[in-house]
Amino acid sequence: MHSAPTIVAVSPVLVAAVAAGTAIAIVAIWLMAVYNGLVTRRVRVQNGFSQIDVQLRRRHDLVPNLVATVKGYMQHERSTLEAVTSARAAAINARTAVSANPGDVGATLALANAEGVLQAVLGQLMILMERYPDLKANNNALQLQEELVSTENRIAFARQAYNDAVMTFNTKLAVFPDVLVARLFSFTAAALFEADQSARALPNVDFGAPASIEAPRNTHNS
Amino acid sequence: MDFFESQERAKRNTSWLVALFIMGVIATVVSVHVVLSLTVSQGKIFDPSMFALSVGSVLAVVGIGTAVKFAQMSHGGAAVAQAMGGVQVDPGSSDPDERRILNVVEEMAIASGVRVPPVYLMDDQTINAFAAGNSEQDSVIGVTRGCIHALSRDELQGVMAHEFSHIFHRDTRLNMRLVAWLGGIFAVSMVGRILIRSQMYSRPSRDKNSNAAIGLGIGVALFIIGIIGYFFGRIIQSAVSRQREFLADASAVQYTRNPDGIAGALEKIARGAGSQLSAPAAAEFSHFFFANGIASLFSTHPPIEDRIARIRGAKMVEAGVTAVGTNVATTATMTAAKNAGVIQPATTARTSSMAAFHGVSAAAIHGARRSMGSLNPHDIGMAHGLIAGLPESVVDAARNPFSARAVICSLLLARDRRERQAQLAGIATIDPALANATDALQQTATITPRQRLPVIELCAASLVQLSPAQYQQFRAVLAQLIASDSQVDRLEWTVRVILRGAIEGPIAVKDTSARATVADVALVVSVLAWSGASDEAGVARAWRAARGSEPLLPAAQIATHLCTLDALDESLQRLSNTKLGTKRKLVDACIACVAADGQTTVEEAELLRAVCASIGAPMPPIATAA
Repeated sequence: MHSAPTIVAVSPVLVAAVAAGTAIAIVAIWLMAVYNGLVTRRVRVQNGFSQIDVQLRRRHDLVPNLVATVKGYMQHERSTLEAVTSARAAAINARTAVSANPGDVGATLALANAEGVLQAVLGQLMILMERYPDLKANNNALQLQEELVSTENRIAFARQAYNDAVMTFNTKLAVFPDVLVARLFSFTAAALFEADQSARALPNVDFGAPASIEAPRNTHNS
Repeated sequence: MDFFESQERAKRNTSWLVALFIMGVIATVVSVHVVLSLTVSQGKIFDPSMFALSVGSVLAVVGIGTAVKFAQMSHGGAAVAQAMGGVQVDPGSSDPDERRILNVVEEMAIASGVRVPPVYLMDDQTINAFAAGNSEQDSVIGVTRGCIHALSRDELQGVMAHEFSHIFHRDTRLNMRLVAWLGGIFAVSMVGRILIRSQMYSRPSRDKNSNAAIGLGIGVALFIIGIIGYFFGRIIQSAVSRQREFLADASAVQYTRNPDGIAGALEKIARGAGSQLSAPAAAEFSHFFFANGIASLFSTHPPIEDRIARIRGAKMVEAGVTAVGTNVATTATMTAAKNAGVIQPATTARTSSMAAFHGVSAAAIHGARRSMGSLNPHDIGMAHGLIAGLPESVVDAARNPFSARAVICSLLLARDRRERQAQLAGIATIDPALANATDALQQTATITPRQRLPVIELCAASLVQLSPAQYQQFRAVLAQLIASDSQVDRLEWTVRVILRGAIEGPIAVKDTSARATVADVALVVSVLAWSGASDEAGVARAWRAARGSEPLLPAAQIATHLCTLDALDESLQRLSNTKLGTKRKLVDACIACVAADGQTTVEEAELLRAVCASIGAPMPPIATAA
């Protein structure tokens, strides 16, 4: 240990140093608290997403069964069935991309859009199914249809919860003083799970269905 | 041992910890003072201003560090799980591994009457698990991916029984506090680290060189003091933790009567699966875990071989031999063994009366009271059977937040057809999709009175996932449903009490300043008295019985118009923060009140259980008697 030149000269400086260290520690502790708060909210967003994910997976599992069941009845709707199958494949790809890169804004948006397309073509398929009386007598088809509708409701609900969590997180990221900590640790805003409205209109083009079926489109609420 | 006695004991352990913590802080203050005296005051033994500075800075840092950690821990077990990088497993998951752990946890929760704890998954291939929370109302279970993948159902059940023991014995609460206090002491070493850094990075100006050197010296000293304080804390941590681990192992055997389950899990860890965790926060929370989460000088867990040997040796607990104590060293294990003997008669009494449907005998209620805060294979099996006996559509719906709301609504629908239509129309004004789902459910599925409480518990577990906005909306729906008929019935009470405990408990910030009074106890007992009796004379009789148990209660019950849902909510909230002694009095008064007329219905018993659960005194399901 160095010997200080004079006792009187050294003391106040060091007292100040200890005081400053204490002050810095308090700031550091505060920083930690804000950081933990941000992390907690980010985890809530992740939990919200995993809720959607479970239901999306369920929908993806149901679709092939439904297609296989109705295929025999709906010989003339081949293009619709193909559209459903390819929309499902696209949605699965998008989902895989998100699981590989959770929280990625672009991937989340792409998934929301792909799911929007899948939901829209499924809606069309269900409207078409109404036109086949034989299908109405098929219990399996009815049950699958019911399950898909209920899954859709669950997805909508989970999406709402997820979006609420995202809003809370993003707001916290933007307000002072949290915004300073968020910048320091490069937190980025989470993406809302919302399909682009223009994407949803797309699949109609692909349908080779007769013009007469367009009327009851609004029966399906999403 | 009685549930409240074991809770009381956990509390004494906590005060012992507080004493150790205060000693730790004093030791830190003294060390800081010595360092400052040697360096700054040049060996002057006692410099008042220097002493004030050391006391002030240490208390400020430790105080704030502890406060921040306490704030973090006040978010309950979920905060710990999230700090460990856990992601909640969706209650409706269809992944076979995830499904198995969810089922095991659901069954144990329903068998013991606690809220179904959310399960968090950590992405480690090693085998480990933890329970965390301040009370069983905000507790969560954490498991590693390896744990749910590599363990058999029996082994998982053993591990979960171990974790439930931590919840029942309030070890989780103790653990949460430990984290907070250690955080405060560790903060001192953070000041040291900051001083070292600031001295090393600041430019050495010629005339301040010596100051810088002394500053660096202080920094290093503080760092070392903090580290010593931290290790001091870790020694406490491991001392407490080891003891609790043996108790939890013994309890796991007692709860499942299957030593092979938990021993098998430990053997798999010992044989190479390991239990180390990758999360950086693992050290801070190492005392929460099933097995050592980190390699450390101060092991928080007894050696695994010791634990296996004790469990295998404790096999006699299963056979009901009370001499187990001679084999097993810790008093904790002896207590568990003694417990096993106490619980048995009640269990068998209940087994014989399972077949009949309506009515609950006073003996069954007292039996459930005795097994409060415990588990046994019979109840676990019964819970398994209850869930398995539910219509598939109901179980599926209960495990998802959207449709769980529909299940709750369908339970609250009136019997009368026209009234029911009006109720559905009322729901539709708030949420049409919910009204449709409720309608579909009530047409296809029937839920018997005995199944109701488990169903509500399952629903509550998924309703936790509602966002605050969604929960507000659902509350509006419920309020409308409950108001749609003129009177508030037992089922409506029960639903409100359980949902408030399970959902608002974790969401809302509790007003801990409010003190529960005799008036609160009187209100809760009055609610039970009014809902249990058919006439004034019955109410008076129930009230007399309650007063027999708790003489401090006023002479007459509270008038029925004052017994509102909101008043009950408020009283229960205050009571859940109250002293254990008051809780015990409340529980016993409630039981005396409900058992008074000898004509207890299933619904009445369920309301009793809901009330007990919401103040943190979980009661196992009460068997119905002939």
